[in-house]
Amino acid sequence: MEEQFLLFKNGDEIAFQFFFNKYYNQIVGFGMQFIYDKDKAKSIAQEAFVKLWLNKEKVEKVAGIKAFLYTSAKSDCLNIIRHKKVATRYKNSYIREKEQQLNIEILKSMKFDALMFSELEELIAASIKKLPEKCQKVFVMRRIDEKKNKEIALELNISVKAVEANMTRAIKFLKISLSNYVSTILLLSFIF
Amino acid sequence: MGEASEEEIESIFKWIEASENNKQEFVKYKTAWAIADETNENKLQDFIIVNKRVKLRRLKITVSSYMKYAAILICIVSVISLWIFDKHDFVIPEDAIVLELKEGKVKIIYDNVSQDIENEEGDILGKQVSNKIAYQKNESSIEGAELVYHTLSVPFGKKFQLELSDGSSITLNSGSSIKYPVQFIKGKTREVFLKGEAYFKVSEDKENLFVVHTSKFDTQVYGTEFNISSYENDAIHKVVLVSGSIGVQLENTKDFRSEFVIKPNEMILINGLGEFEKKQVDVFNYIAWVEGVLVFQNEKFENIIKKLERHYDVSIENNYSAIRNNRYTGVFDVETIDDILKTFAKHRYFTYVVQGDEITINH
Repeated sequence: MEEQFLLFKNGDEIAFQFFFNKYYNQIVGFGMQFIYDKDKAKSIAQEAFVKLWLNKEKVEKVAGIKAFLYTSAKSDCLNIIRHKKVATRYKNSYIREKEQQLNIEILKSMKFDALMFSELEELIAASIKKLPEKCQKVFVMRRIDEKKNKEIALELNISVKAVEANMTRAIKFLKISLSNYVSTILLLSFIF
Repeated sequence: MGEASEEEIESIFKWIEASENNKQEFVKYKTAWAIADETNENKLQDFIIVNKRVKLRRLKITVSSYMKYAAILICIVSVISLWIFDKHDFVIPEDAIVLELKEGKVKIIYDNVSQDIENEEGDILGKQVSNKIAYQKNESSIEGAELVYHTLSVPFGKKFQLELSDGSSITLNSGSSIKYPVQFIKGKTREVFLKGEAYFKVSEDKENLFVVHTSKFDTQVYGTEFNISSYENDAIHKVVLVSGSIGVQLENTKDFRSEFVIKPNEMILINGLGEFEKKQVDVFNYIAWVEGVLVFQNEKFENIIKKLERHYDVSIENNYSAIRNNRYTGVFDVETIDDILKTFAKHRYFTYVVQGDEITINH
């Protein structure tokens, strides 16, 4: 990672692609949580990478890449919500208003510093204990150890497809499990 | 799992709003969730889109910063092009040797061509013969006349020779430029201004001191042979004396200048802080470039890279940091850059990739 980071800083496009492959889907997923529109979420994520590449000299540490991308996505999400360009999911204007207010508040509270990421990891770690073992392993290797699908497949002696399937399953599980903390009602609204 | 009905969702929001604790808890989980989530996109396809957007953005950035000045620029450019390039409408190539005449008028000097160097009135000031420009000798100079300067700039990968009006000869190394008067004036100090590296053979004139100014120091002589290396992006600037004697003045502060004299086979090293050091050296190593020979004498790899860049007009990226402080001794003359890198790689293994003018060294 450190080596890739130095290459990236020196303008190496292959190193840039390495970080793109690593984080792109996560940033799209992040945007989806607030904008509920795949095309817009993809556009937000792409914009984050464009800015990252054009401002690479400002990123000082390898951890800064993730923080930069999420910060860029956060401010784009905020802009879209504030300009009321979010897809309407509800007829009820009260829910719409409340949801957007809350989303703005959540986005604003995000700092993307080391502390926040480590707190969230703890939270996620507690939640994944309920996952089936293979799912757990795949998730930890992917998100905490930041390994590639290929590496995980090799290590666990399963196919890349199986790694992907387990990852999808883990994320679905995680969403349910996280929402369980709030209430069973919350679970219903955020599963899909 | 089904979708929650709007009534159910409304009850969630009511629960969230019921207490600050509920809200904080929700914020925490939703954040964790947003960070944990990921989709499954076609990464290759989307990476190509990102690259396209980067290119578009670069274009936009350039255009928008120019837009502000566009109007002024167009006027200036049209005036300048009328005035500098006469009838010619051209862009100066980056790898051209350029002679800047009086008042910013620019002339491209092609290698191995013979031509007269004239002023605006059509008076012949000097002659170019292959890789050398020789100015007319001072014959009768008028007292109190005004100095007219020319500036010669040599790009990376090239060298060029000058013979000034006092008969002094200067070989300008690659990536360097020098400003000098077309005619020196009797009774006035002979002053030239150097950026980069040059080898001087100054004609003796006991009455008129010859001074080379660089950004960090001044070198004063009456008549001698010496080499000055004063590239802006080099950490160490150097003066080496071949014969005679010279005085080097460092401008420590506005009011205080330290001066010292060096003798043949001595070198003065000046660092970025204006500190200096005197050393006994083999002069050949420092003037070999005049004959097209590259000499490295117990030199750090990072400095060698800089010399290679200037000599071959390439840019070298070194990603193998451990090799930077390795020291090498060697002589190259007819070798290509590829031959040279291969030789270094034999001593301490590294790989390198050549893409046009860009070379990347990796472990």
